Amino acid sequence: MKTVRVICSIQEGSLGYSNIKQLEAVISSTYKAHFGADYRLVFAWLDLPYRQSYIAGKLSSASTVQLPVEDGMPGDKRHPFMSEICAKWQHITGCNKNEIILVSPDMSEYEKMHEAFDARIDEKVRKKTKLKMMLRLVAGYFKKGYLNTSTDL
Amino acid sequence: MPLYTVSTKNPLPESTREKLAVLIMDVHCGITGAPETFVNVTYAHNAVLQPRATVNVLGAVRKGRTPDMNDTLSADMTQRIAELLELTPYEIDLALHEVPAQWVMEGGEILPEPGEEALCEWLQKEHA
Repeated sequence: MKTVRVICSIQEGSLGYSNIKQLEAVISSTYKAHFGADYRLVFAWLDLPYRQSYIAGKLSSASTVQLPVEDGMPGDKRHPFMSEICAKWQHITGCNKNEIILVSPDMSEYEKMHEAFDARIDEKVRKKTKLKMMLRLVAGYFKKGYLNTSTDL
Repeated sequence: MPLYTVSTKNPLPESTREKLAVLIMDVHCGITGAPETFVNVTYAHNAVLQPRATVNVLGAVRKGRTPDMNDTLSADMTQRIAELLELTPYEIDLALHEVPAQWVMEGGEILPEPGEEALCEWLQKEHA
């Protein structure tokens, strides 16, 4: 069983518990339907604090989902999957098509993207910062029932 | 996409965040010719950055532009952000991370490759 880390950055307070659990279930089942049953998806929900995200220079109401797939996945398999995820996200949340941004990178590149994010942080506190973030995700789980924290560090 | 993440230790005032989001959009679109619609900017606070940096800007941009264009984009973006925030360019830690357009869906459509926006039917319809 391969674990796939899914990161969903959503506007703070925009989605409630039932929407989030429904999204987790639907995205997991869609992933398995497209790519096989041998995957376990783990979701981290990151709240974008109010007035901290912009699109085209104006305040944004969009969510960004990072959902990696196997390296070298061809477009004719990757793209239908992405279309289905976006359509289901819109159906569940009621958002419009411009309010969901989906990135489905190769898994190896996904790791590099996260390494680039980690590299922002001073090496002296990098491990501590990551640990703090993980603890906050777990605390969020006990508080809300799903792994969540803020995009602020 | 692009998605620029601006990280700072202390929160930037809201008016500065707004100006910076517009500046990033203007510089990115001015140099690359990308449509403004695609430019996302998010802010992360409480980041303990590398010692010399006051601001970190990580830009996830579409892959396929020339190294020269990306170098110009990095240099101009750093300079303009430094001017806006009244910092030296040395205090801005800016990096670009390239992501293939084919891996990104916005507006329910796969993004066009850089430079192919004019050939992209759905994008032209959006802006008609």
